Amino acid sequence: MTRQMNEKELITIEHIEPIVSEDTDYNFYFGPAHSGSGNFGVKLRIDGEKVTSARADPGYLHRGFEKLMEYRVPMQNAVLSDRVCIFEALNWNLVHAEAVDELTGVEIPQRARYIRVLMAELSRLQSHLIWYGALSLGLGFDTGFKMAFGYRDYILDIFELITGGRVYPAGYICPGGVRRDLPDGSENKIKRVLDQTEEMMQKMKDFDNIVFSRRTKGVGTLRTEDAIRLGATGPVLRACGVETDVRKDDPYEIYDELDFDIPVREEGDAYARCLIREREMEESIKIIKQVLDRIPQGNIREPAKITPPSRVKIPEGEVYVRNELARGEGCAYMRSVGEKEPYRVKIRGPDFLHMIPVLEHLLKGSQIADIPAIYWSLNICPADMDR
Amino acid sequence: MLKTIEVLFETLFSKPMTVKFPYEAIEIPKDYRGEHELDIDKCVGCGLCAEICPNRAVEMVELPEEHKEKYPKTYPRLDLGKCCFCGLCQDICPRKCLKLTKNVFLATPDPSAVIKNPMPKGPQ
Repeated sequence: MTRQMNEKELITIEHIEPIVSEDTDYNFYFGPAHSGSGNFGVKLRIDGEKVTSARADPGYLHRGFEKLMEYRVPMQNAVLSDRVCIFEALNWNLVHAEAVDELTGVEIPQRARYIRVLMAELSRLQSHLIWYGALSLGLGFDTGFKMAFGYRDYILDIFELITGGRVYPAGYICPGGVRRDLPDGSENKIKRVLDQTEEMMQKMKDFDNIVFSRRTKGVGTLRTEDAIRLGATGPVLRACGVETDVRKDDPYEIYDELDFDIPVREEGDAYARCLIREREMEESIKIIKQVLDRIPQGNIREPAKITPPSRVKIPEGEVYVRNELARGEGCAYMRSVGEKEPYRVKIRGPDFLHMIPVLEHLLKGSQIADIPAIYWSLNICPADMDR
Repeated sequence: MLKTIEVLFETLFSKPMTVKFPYEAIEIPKDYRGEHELDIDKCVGCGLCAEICPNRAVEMVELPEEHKEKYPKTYPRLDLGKCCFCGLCQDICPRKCLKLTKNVFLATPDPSAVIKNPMPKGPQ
């Protein structure tokens, strides 16, 4: 149905100034109020269609976790550690819990170790599904986004059953073990969800979307020496041909007892990073299946009851732990002077270096249309960078 | 291409992934961390819930004068606006009288409704 425009409207349209000036060199803002960037911005200098320089604009999601943790006991900090990165809350729980466990020297029950790895891998799986959805959306492949977020919900159902919350586990992996035991029937449910996830991954492969491969192949190529120089870790570094994984290099929990491979590719472009993550999802499923077969019976936390904050005391010392997260290497430095709260906590997320030096390096010289492909192929999370 | 057509037909005749809320709903597990429920008769007023709360959403308060005789101690008052639903208060409670229930429908237009005062059970 059409209608005639009235006189007033016509006058308004005539007075709109052209958006693009004749000058081909201009500033372009990608984010922070942009549906495809999250709470993060990049200030770009554009010449025609080409990016001549890029400058990251972080700080929109700073919540000050490092300072907040200095005023809370470890059990309260476990709840806080969820929110470092909402996409992989359980992995950050594990980083925090490991740092405290190393300081206190508590022997973690074997069952708790298995549950920790199980939950961390499920968290990695759902984090990769978010990444697949976000990248698909960035590339204009809407089906991929809906499929990934739909199947992610099945994993969230497991989190709801085990931790009591869908997205925030509220410090499920806590200092000394885990907060709750697996409820009856959860093993079968996890196996069912793994089958569903495998089904989805098969669909992903079958589609072999031409838009997907053409928009990522040869885009945002990162050379190995640049990746190392700029501090890339995790899948980004593995896509550049470096075989590295904290789970193999410096095993924590029970990773040394498990059989899994590290996918490595040589190309270093956005497509290689996508393939690496797809392979990683398969490896995560393999790990979860092994854990479910071997999980022993026993205690889940040492000590079994939560110590009241007034009686907590962290032994004096300092630790630095590192874990392999879905996005790269997540580390925590913790120092205690023998009080109930830590004296200093430093969180080092993988995305700080991926979002500032690596992203700036990759965007320089690229086309405007390739920005979402480069941005999302790094699988970045502003929450983790700003902390 | 054939595979795509196969998937298309499969999707046409399969059930949708979503449910028609509020007519249908996915069942919430029994250990969900929802709204709090206090069994005041079991509560000993130890104050551990207020001590462990990371957001200081729990405050120990006295009951109104008419109930003071039966309930002389201090009992937890919850501010759901500050609460992050971590469930540490439930875990630390020595008498298991403070529990998180399955109720997730907490949206309210009344700001004072987010504060849950400890009250004796039954008709007031």
